Amino acid sequence: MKIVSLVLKFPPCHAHEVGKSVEAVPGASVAANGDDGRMIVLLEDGPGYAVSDSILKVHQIPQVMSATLAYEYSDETLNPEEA
Amino acid sequence: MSMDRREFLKIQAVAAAATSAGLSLPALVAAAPADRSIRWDKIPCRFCGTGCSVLAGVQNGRLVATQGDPDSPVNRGLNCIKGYFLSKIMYGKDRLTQPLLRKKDGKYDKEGDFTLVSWDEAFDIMAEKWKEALKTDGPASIAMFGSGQWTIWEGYAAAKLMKAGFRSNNLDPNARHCMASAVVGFMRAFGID
Repeated sequence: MKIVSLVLKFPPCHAHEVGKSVEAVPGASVAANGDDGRMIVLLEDGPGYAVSDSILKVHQIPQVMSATLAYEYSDETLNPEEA
Repeated sequence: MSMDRREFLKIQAVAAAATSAGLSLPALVAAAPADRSIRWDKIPCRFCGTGCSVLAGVQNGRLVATQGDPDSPVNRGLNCIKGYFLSKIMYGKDRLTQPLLRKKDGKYDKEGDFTLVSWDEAFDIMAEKWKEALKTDGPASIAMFGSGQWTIWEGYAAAKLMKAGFRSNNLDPNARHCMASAVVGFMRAFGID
């Protein structure tokens, strides 16, 4: 299980487009929208994609000026054999 | 309130991000219980010279989670993409945990294959080669690369060792590799470093 949260910054006038683009990224969802150009994005693992790729996809959304990591959890490191 | 582990961690993740961003917490986050299964300690990120402060979550003696330290004046609760790999890089299968030395027929050879050696052997061969280079080609033939997160005292000791001790100016930080390329990027993207 992998869980990641990001904080996005973008011009507030693009909130709608950014939100739509985020929801199109595998495993990503908008957790909170500050209405002032800040948004919290939640990412979780799933079949067919890597969370790290999804982070980069969020970062590459054209209107997004910055996407910074706030929290990450990965229980795959709990078992040395699976890491 | 009952919830499964995934839902619980998602709330923790959102709460950490909300704290970092200064956004008001949704009611669900405010009501979330503390995670007793993960012990949080404070660590510095070592991936570059910025010195971001990170909270490291340990479960069953293994690093399982990280978050930016919201109290840090350097990164204010945020990490870059390299921070995403802070916990994973500890347990990578291809992580080097022992020195490798190029060897052929059991001896150091620049054209040989990488072979696992002990730390003693690695330091011995390094000392031997340094002495040899100093003797034959002088101080300009040796060099040291330091860390971007060297403390003032470590940097001072390295400068003394290289400049006063070996009489060599060949002392550089990792910034020569890392920040030098970033400066070129800044100049091209923003026209200013």
